[in-house]
Amino acid sequence: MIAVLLDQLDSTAEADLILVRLAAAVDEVTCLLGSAPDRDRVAALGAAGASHLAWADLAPDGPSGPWVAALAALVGPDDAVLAPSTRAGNEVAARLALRLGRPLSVGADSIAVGGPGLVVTSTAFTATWHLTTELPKASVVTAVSAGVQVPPPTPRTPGVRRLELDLTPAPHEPVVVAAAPKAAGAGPRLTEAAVVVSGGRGTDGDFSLIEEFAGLIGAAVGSSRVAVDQGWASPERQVGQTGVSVAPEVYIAAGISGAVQHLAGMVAAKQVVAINTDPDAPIFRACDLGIVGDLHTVLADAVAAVRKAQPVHC
Amino acid sequence: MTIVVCVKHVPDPADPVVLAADLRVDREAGAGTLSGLDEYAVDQAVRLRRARERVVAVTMGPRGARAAVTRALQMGADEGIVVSDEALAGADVLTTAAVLAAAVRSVGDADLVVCGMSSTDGGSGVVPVLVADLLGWACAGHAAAVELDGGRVTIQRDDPDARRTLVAPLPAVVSVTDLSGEPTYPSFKAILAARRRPVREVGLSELGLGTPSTAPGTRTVSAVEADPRPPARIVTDSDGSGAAALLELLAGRSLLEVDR
Ligand SMILES: Cc1cc2nc3c(=O)[nH]c(=O)nc-3n(C[C@H](O)[C@H](O)[C@H](O)COP(=O)(O)OP(=O)(O)OC[C@H]3O[C@@H](n4cnc5c(N)ncnc54)[C@H](O)[C@@H]3O)c2cc1C
Repeated sequence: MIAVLLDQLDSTAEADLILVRLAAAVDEVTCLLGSAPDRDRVAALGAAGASHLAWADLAPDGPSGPWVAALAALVGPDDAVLAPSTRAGNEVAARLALRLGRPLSVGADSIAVGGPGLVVTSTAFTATWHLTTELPKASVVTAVSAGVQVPPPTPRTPGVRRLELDLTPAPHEPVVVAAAPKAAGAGPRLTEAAVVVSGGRGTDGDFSLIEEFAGLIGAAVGSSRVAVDQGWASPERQVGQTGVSVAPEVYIAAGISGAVQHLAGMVAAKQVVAINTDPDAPIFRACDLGIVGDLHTVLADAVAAVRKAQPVHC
Repeated sequence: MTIVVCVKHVPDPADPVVLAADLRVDREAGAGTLSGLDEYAVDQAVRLRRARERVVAVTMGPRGARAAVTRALQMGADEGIVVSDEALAGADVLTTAAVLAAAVRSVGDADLVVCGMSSTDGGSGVVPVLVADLLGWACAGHAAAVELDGGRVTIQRDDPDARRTLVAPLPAVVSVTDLSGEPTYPSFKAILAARRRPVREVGLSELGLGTPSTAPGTRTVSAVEADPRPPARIVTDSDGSGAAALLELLAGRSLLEVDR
């Protein structure tokens, strides 16, 4: 069996389904959920290949300890564990590996049966290397979801059970005392969009054309860290080593130089377009189409052309 | 009380990565530097230091790793500990966390450990929470801001859906992100003053630790450099040629159907 950790604060329903499909190619899947699933959720997880659903009342924004305890109760000595490679998912996974004395592998982009049990691949050193790692079956692995190849699932009809456990957090676990929700924002999610348009220092603080173009073509808006540091974009927009990793069909970097820390978050994009005034910018060595020019001119032209081609809605 | 800050000596991100024959990072190869993300941790530790307190910078690594501690001292830490032992070459995250936890214990009166959110080379980001669990302390991870009040630490955490405030009792381990404020660059005076601060070099036995088990856990069987993208098609924008090339690429992949 392979136990799959779902419902983490910084994962998404779509990423959770990818995780289940990755796991289903390895072994029979038992999912750990943070609340009782409704019929649609049972059907969706079954279609992704889950055989069993175990749930407990576990708040996504609660401490990681109870999630660790629930997983520890779920897995037997020969079972594997798969968690999302997000901040929250990696924390649960690491604590579980320590508690159970199991090997840990963080950030896999594929997982298969082989070697002494499992073979995983991952990228390393700001995504400039590909590693292949072997580990025993009874290990804890975390996997990314952006850009991974998922095998076609074999649909199942999962059974649902509640975990009967005392999941009171230890007294020293941190507690959330306040939360300021963020506006969900229009358009697709950054990690799931087919097209991402990102702006950097070259925008000089004006993201309006980036937002307008992205809105017109149904793309998500991303940014470099400089744009976040300057307060032009909010932190969850940041692509790169300390931001999110994306793997869209097309990634458009406007006014971004192409630092290795930025590239780390978008190398998995199928096509990369760079718009930059400096013909020697490093981003031109890491793209498929390089447009040497002012991003404001290029994006204004693009917006005008798309509007012209578009049927007029009143 | 004492604040411990964990620092890592990493290859300079601008240098090409060199792997030894056993597929481990060759840590003696390049010049190396204090991990960029640990600078935030040192800065926060120094800022949080209360009256009559000291900040101790701890690193684990080969001899050359002392440079990371030296840098932390220049940034304002009071003392350093370098844990160096041949047996630690290629240590995994669990071993690393065990060594750092033992070093924290050896300090005696520490009640706060500050770490960077991850190293810039290994990058799994799980060492802080492992150190906390090994010490039996709270872990408040990925802080964009940290404050101490009385016996508690309060952090701000930037999650995808909300900015959250979390509180944990001391003793605690905190990891800080690159949203926690740009680290201050040490002055010449600070660099000179750092030379007089004590640095203790210890091995595993001095920390009461045995040789880490070599039980087969994870084993890297291959490492290959990522292929660079083929050379790009370059269009110099004039009279809308840039936008035309961009839209053509999107249309060619059916990504311009606006009414999707
Ligand atoms: C530990 C660490 C982690 C990091 N993590 C990240 C991360 O996750 N994500 C990230 O992005 N960075 C990260 N960085 C920062 C990274 O090193 C770079 O500093 C950053 O990516 C640069 O952002 P930028 O490209 O917007 O700015 P710059 O490097 O200043 O580039 C701006 C570019 O805009 C171009 N330009 C200017 N005007 C125009 C115009 N009108 N039209 C078109 N082009 C124009 C310029 O030619 C230049 O190439 C990290 C750094 C460290 C040390």
